[in-house]
Amino acid sequence: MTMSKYFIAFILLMAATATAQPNGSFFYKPYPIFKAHNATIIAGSVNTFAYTNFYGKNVQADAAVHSTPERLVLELFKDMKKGDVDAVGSLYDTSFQRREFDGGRMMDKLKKYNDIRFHSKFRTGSLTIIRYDFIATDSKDSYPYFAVVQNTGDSYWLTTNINITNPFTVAGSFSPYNLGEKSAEPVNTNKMTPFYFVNKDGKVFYTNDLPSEDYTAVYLLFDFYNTAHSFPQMGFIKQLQKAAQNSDTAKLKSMLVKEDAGRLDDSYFGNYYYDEILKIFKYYPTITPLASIKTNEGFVLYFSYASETMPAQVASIILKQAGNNWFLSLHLSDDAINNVLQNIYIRQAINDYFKKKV
Amino acid sequence: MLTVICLCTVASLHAQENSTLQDKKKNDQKDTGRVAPFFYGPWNIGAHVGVSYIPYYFHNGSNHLTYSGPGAELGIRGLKKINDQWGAGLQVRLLDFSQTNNTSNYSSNIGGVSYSSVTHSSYRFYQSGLDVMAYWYPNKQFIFNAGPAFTFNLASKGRSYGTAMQTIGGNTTTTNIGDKTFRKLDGTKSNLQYGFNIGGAYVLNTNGHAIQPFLNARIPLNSTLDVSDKNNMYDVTGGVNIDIATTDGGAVSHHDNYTREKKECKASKNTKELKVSIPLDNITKTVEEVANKIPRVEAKISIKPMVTVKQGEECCSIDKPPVSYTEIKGGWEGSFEININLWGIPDINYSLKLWPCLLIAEFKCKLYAGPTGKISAERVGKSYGSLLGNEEPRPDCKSCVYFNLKAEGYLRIGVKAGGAVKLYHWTPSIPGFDVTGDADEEIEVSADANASIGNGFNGTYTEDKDCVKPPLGLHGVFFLGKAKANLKFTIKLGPISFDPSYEISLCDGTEIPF
Repeated sequence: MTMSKYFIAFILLMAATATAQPNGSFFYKPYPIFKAHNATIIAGSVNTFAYTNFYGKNVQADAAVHSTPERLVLELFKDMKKGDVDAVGSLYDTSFQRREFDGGRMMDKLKKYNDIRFHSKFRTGSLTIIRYDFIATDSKDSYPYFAVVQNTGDSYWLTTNINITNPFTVAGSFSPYNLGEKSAEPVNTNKMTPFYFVNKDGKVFYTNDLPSEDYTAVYLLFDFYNTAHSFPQMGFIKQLQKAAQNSDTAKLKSMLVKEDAGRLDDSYFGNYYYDEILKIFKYYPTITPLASIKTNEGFVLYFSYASETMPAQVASIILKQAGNNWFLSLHLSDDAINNVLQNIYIRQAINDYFKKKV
Repeated sequence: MLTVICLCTVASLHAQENSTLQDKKKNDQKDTGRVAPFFYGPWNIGAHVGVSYIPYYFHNGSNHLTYSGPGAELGIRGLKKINDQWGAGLQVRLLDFSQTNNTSNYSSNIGGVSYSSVTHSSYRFYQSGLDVMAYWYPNKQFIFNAGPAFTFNLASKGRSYGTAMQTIGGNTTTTNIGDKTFRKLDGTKSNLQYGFNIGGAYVLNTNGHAIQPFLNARIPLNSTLDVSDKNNMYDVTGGVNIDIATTDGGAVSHHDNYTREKKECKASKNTKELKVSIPLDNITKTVEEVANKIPRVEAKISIKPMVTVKQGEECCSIDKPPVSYTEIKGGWEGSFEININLWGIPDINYSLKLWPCLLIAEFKCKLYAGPTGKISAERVGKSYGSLLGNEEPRPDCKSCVYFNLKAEGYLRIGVKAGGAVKLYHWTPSIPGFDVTGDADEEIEVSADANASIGNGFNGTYTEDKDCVKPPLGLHGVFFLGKAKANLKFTIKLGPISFDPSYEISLCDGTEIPF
């Protein structure tokens, strides 16, 4: 009898503990971001924690508000439900601007939700993204949401500052653990080139070597060209170079994808075409293909350009195939590949990676 | 015999060759790395006249007899400068001197007869000498020499004479004894005395040949005379060396580059200032050409060509006429304008996932650039001769005039964005972002952003062919810093607001050497 009393007490204690902290640990598991011709061309990986059946009601409510990210998010939900903007403000760091918060709007948006369900969290440096849904326990209705939490060492604070260009956000947003119900498709990154991004002191650093800190990884599947002649479309590049050197505008336009030729009137595309692409092909006689990334329509070619007086620089162009012919294009059709390859940090990392090779 | 004939023939042929051939020979020797013989090249030939004082010590057991007397020496010498500080040479001299032990007194009084005598003994030597000397020129005025000295005794003579007085009963009779004539000494023979000599001279420049008062000491290391007594002849000589001529590969000329007095250059102290127009089109053109090759960049450079210059005269060499110089006062100022064609935001019209939300921005940014910059040109050095053409080459005036060109500026880039951002929330039931219907949130946003970029160039420019560093022409580096714009706006995302920032790459940064 005494034994069973202690046993019940132990079970209750374990249950209480289980509800205070989510089970599990952070992990890295690469996932596809972009596929072409059934091959994963771009993959990503962020430091991820996946919750299992963890709700607001499971969070230890008597813990200090700033002691854990989960406790902080639960308090945010409670204060928003009450429309108490001042209380919400007390959860934020200095980025909180009271005038931008509307108590009525909060209450209105959350009136039908009475709990939150934690999905996952992603960590880089002192920054953690908590993915949770507002849920209505009496129905299946839910509202996917997220919180941006800063760790100041001994406490956690919400922030409204979020750099949407940070590779952590770009790559992390593609995580199957972010978007809910998708299962994580395994990706073999052995043949891919990794670019690791680390957040430190509010800055983003990148490296090709596996860092010891939290990182965001972007894996790219390159086809490398050891010599200029190993690039299959070298003939097209030579034609482009010759036309640019001769200022043969008719020929140059004919080498553009048809629908892109019409975009040249837009200064946005016109400047890119005339002041970037044509300058490179006109003034820099040494064009050396370095590698390419396949797209569903062709590929993005990375190449170096140099002259007698200028050291090699790296640039990229988009080539698309129509029938048996190749054309130059001014934009990428797929948003995923566009967002990754045009990202300021990822682009710089790729550029530096190839600069070291030339 | 045949060998001798051949050598003579070769020698004869060599004698017939002129100095051009000798120059060629010199060059050949230089080319093959062989060293030219020491005796080749200019020798300074001079006369040597001196007055000596020569103490002469006999050491005969414990008796030391000292003779001393004056002498005169006459010689000829040749010396060659090896470099500005060192030289070597030979000197042949003839020396004539006599030495006297003045008194040898004797007196006696025997039986009322007193006798006394005074005797003078002298030696006279005729010698020839050969001095091998190393010369050191600490400056243009002093020459010091040291080296081994060899003296050959050609002839030795001696004499002894005096008076004898005899007094008997108050009558004194005086008689001369000996002979004042120098006679050849018996028991001596010509031999060699070796030792070393050390001395110094001071160079007096006159309009004619250089005269060098000198003081020289010779210290013997062995006895001169082949007698049983040990003897040494120390020699202190003062006199003058007179330079006569300089040889040059056999020819003799009366030039002496370092001893002849030169006419001193005197430059006018008058200066004048004037405005000079210097064509700088090539500078601006080159920099523009370089800058315009950078993708996305258009550059316009201007440099004001008017400068104030000071002209005057200056002496480059003390023995050459003065030369005019030009000194540019202050610097130049110019301006540059760089336009960056900001294409680099193909993703501004984007759809981007923001965790469980999809942002579709349907606005375009208006980017504007307001470049400002200054160019400064700092003159370094001084130019000799006419600024726009040198009438007479003056290699002794090593002018290297160049300009440090510096330009730097900051390009302020403004971004004005306007339009709408549509927000779509993740739809777990699909799953996906349902963008077919109305957006979950549609927000008009506006944003301002600023970015700055450092750009400009550092370079040097010279038309002066004497310049090695920096090299002729326009050289430098055009640099364009990395630039990004930060776009910050506020969006209401569901119940709360966010202030996302979006970074746009404007320029990757580059350096172009030219």
